Amino acid sequence: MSCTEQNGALCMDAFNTSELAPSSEIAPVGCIPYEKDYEGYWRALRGAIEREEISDRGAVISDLIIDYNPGHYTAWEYRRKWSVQEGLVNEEIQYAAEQVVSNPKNYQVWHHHRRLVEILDKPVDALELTRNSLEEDAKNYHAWSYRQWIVKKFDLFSNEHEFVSKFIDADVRNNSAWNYRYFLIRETKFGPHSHFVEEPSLVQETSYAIRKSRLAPHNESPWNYIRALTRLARMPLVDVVGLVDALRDSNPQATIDNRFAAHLYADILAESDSRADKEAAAKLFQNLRDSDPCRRRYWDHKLSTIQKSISRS
Amino acid sequence: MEPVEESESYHRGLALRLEEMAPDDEFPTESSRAQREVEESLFAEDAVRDAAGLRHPPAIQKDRMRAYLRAAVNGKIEKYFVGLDSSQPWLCYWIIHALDLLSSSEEPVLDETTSQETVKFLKSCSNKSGGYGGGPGQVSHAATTFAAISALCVIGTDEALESIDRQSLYSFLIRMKQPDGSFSVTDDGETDIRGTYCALTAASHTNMLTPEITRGCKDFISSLQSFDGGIGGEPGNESHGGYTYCGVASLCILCDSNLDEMGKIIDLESLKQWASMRQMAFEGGFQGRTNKLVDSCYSFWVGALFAMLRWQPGEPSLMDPSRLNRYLVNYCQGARGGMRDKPGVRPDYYHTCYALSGLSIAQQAMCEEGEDVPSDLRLKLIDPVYNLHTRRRERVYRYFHGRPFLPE
Ligand SMILES: [Zn+2]
Repeated sequence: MSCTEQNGALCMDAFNTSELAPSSEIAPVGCIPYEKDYEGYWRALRGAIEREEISDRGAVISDLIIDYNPGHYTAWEYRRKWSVQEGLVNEEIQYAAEQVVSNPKNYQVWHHHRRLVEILDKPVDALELTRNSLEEDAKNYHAWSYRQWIVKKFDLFSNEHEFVSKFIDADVRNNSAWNYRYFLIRETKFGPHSHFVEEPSLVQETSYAIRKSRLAPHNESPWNYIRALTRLARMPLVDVVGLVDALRDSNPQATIDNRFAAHLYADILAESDSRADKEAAAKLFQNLRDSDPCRRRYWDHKLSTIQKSISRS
Repeated sequence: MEPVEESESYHRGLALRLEEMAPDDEFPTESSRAQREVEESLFAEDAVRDAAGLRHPPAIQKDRMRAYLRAAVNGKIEKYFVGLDSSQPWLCYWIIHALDLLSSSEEPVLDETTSQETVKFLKSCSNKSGGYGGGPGQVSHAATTFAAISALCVIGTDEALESIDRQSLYSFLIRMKQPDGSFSVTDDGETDIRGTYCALTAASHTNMLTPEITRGCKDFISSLQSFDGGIGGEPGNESHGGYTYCGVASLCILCDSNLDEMGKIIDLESLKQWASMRQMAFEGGFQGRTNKLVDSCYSFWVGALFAMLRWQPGEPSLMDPSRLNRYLVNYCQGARGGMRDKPGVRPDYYHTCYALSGLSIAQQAMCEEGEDVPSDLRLKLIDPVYNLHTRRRERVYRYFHGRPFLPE
């Protein structure tokens, strides 16, 4: 039931004046000047809600309201009740998908789709929908979050590594994609789905991240990812094959100049039992303090932590 | 964007600050190109100011901000805001909280009549079954419930606080409670950390933090901390400034801001790392996620983290408050008042509220570090957990703590 071919006035003809709720109370602060049409639609829908009327004419009006204001969560909730009552959930999910395309940053639209998928208990077009949406905006939070939910709920992990790799290839700085990659690794290695796919090993994954970090060394994302993998593996940072070599690099100055590499290297050295390593870590934090004045207070904090550890050793 | 004007100070500034721009390692991608565009737009702003002969950084234009906000009190805002029809209590809170921060006295923000009418209006957004909706007749939502109650706290009169019906509010909050300890935002709505923060704030203000409300909250928050130390909206989601704020502020409510207790629930060291990395050296403001762009609203969402994560009062905050101040004052003020996300976009009420809240936090930290912030430029102090002027929060606390709550 969509109103796109009808006009609003015609839809309003389905309501008697007596069925409209009175005009809404006016906000004394931040009053929005409503267009007459919009105000009429809301009076009609509010009237229907107050009568507990779930009807086709109400659904038509809710669509008109959503056209003006896709954040109108009351109208979305009305549409859910209506589509369930009328057995039109399959149709409604198409409507939701269309709305996702025009309002990709809206909470309600994505939630509507998700609830309907829950009701049908099948992942109707959700992978395609999130893929299309992410191709438009590769960092859309709602789309990544929804994809996680779908993939987990319906065990759809099999092509996801390939999927996310394309996003990292397109933009190695896309942190949303790195986050999704971590989600996959954690779920497939440690989650209930670990039997499901041939996932890469943590070692392979770490060397992947090291390779990616070399493309653009001042990209924070793979550095955070490497730290996270070692925590997952309960592995001391120093044991990560190739990592320390990558950090030391052929040119030691390169590591010192790169605050992400220097930070990670300093944290590795700080974990060591050797006093000399700890002192080397302190030196790196000192350098960071001088070369990254924006974060001076944070590096001071790291420095004082390592100094306490040195004086204890 | 091309440089607008070439002048001596433009070149001097360029040389000094060039090295603080985010390096693209000669490997440009969509993210680094967008980043470079923002950096260039800041340079362009500097050039315009240099050309106008403004040597010193401009100050916060309090009068202009007030005028922008006052126009929305007993007057209509622009038609284009119809998308906020389901956020009417939010509009009210953003506007009066920002006015409160700008006010130089402890006097009420609204005159008596407007204050009474606003209380009445917010009441008309509430529902018999508890909570407040986005406008009259709209179903109750945790976020608009938070906004309505916060607005009533700013108004702060007995009438405003009395207007909150605690019994029905309590049953609304309990109705939103999920088996895993989280809260959904409406009866049939999404469940994420916003629900938890909004519910806990409403319950905390009104002295209704019962074990039924707090049950499972800590476990839920703990499940949201991401691998890089920040917090996402749902387990597994990417760290995000807004959600991290909601998570940490919720923990402050649950643990009475005791950092030792909070440290048992989330890893505070990695959280500090994540938060510190969000400040942009060149721009001075905060980004909301790794490799995203600076945005003034994160001045509060991320800035408040530093205020909440201090081990004890007097210990310096881990951010650089002068840089944050510079971003907000130099680059985010709209020509006709209001604060904007970044140069090139128009101001709005949301960014005005959160940019000014962030500025208040920056000023407070600057004062603590011994920097001179002239008193006529000062904004009022805020409580970072609730984002209310500290006096307003104290007043609400006293009011409801004198009135113990017993669920029916
Ligand atoms: Zn923003």
